[in-house]
Amino acid sequence: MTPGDTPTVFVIDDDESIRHALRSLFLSVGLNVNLFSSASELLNSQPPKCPSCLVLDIRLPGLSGLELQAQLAGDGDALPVILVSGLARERQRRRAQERRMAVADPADGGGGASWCPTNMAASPSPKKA
Amino acid sequence: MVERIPWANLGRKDSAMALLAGPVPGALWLGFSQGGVAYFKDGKVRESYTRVDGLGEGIVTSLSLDSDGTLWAATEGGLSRVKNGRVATLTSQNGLPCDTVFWMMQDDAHSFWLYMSCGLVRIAGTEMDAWVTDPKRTIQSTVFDSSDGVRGRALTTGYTPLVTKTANGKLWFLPLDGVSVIDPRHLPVNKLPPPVHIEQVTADRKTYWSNLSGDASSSHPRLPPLVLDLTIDYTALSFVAPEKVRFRYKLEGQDPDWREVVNEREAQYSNLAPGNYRFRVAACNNSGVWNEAGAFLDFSIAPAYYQTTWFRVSCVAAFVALLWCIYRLRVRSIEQRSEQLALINSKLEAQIAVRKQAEEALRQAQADLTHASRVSSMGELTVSLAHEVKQPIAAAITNANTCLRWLAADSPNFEEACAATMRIVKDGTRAAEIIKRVRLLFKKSAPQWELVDVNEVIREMIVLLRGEATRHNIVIRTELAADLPQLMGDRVQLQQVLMNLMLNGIDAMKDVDGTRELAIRSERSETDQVLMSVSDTGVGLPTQQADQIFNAFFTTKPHGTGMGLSISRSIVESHGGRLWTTDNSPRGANFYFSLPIKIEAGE
Repeated sequence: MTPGDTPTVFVIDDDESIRHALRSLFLSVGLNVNLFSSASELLNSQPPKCPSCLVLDIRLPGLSGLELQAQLAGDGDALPVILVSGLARERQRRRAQERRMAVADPADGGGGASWCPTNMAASPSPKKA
Repeated sequence: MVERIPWANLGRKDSAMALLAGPVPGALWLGFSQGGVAYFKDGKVRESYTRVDGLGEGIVTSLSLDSDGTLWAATEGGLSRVKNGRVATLTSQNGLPCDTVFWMMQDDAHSFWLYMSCGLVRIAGTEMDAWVTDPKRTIQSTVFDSSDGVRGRALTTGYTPLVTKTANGKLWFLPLDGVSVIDPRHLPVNKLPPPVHIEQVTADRKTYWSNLSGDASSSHPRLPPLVLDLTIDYTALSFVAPEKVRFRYKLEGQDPDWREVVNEREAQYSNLAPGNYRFRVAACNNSGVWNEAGAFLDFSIAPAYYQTTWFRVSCVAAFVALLWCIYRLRVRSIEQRSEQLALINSKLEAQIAVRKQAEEALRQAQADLTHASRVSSMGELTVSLAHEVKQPIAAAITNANTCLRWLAADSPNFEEACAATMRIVKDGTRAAEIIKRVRLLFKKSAPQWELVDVNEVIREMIVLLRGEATRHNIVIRTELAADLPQLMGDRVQLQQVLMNLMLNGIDAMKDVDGTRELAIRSERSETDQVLMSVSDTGVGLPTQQADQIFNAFFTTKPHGTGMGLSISRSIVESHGGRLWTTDNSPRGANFYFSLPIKIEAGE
């Protein structure tokens, strides 16, 4: 499997531990991951391949997650975007859903039980983090 | 025929009264009427002696020469002896009965006979020899006066010699009338020492004791106190010449020496001190025979009450008592003063205690206010802080999920699972750390002075405020000097200052367009201080009231308490530092605060 065949997830988060956690998570389900600490870092970089998915922190320093999504959407890329925010307010959540973005709260719920060895028969598909 | 030599030729204005030819041919001695003798030879005065040289003063009535060349001059001021240019004069001070001597003659037994104004005086040759050796000596002499048939002679005029010695040794001399003769070899001698009696004691004209028994030594009269004049009468029995009886007496306890008197039969004393006395008296008859034993009388003078020992002891005691009283009074007064002072002191102490209480209350209120302000600031940060805590928790949950995935895979990847678990530990630690710091800021505790790393304080504060800054789209930039020394301070209070300044900066940039940057710097200043600054690109300082921003209750925020900067400044100043502000370029404000380095790191 080459990197070109597998989808790549772009993770933008200013928190290093979150970035590493997400990277490891995506790797565990067989996805390529590119990490960025800010929206501007992503915009300034020339990624070799377009991302298949964007995972954004809703509260990014500088250009915010929603603004980046708007900018990327303006460029014509209809990227699927997952906004990660534990503090997302209802208003932001609604705005995100209006733009057909998924909002995820990593601290919300212990879905990890589905991956426990006793539940090995359950769906192997990754829960969205 | 006669050569005449005027007295003026001899240098004299008076005239000579005595003339004596010496053994040397052509030489003679002259005695002058106004005193002085001169030795005249070959028409010139060779020697001259006057009062200044020790010669007796007054008229020189006669001169005589010894075979050895000694010149004797009878003067009004005693008998002068001139030998080899040395002059000595025998006067009443040497024991002569009077001073005026008319002539002197030596008898065959080498006794000296002086015809004086008080009679004919005989001085034994041995006595005279003793005097010649010691001219200050007192000599013994015998006086023959009118009671012995010696006729007196008042005038001193006459010619030399008015006395002569015949071949049989008798002395012939010329008083005023007739001629007198005395045979020095057949002088009447009274060999009976006169018995002496003390007769009575009179004090202040009152007789206190009379000798009735004849023996004074057995009685012991007591005299009253304060005797002014004391007279002791004594006598000696001499039937030959009572008027020539000489006495000497001494009051032991008063007189240091014997007093000698002639024909006086009372001794007088004044102002005798109280005490015991012994009066001794001895007598000598007309022939110079002494009754050395004499008589004595013991008597005492009673002391006046104030002369008594008990009175003096009482006086001393009274004086001591007085001193004691004065001392007690003084002590009492000092004690009273001390009590007053103690009272004042206790009042002052009470006042001080009240003041201390007030100060303590003020300090407490200040601490409370500082804490309240801190809590209030933290309250504003609730959302950001919650985010800050939730962030590692979210990471931990994600990592936990990931770990499960790696383990649940068909071929479990333990390496990745392990790494994920390590991250969980890290994330949990981080969350706990943040909660701990927040708790510390919320906690109300007394200031704790410790060595503080300023950069660490800044970093910790940035961790807590990063979320808040991000929420307002603000970038925090730090320029922290490495190797800053640690300094003494209260970590929580310094964090509060930083929090206030950073929150102010965030507030100032909330509503501005363009760059939102909060720059935090630390450096070591040249004056051994650590300088920290918080710079924002916000709305800047209020132009009109820039100097008021540190005042309490001054605020430009709609919901501000106006205490933040005021408290920050008092915290910095309590650390011995300074807090001030300047405008930032091109926009915003700089807040600086400097803290003195009191203890170098690593000490």
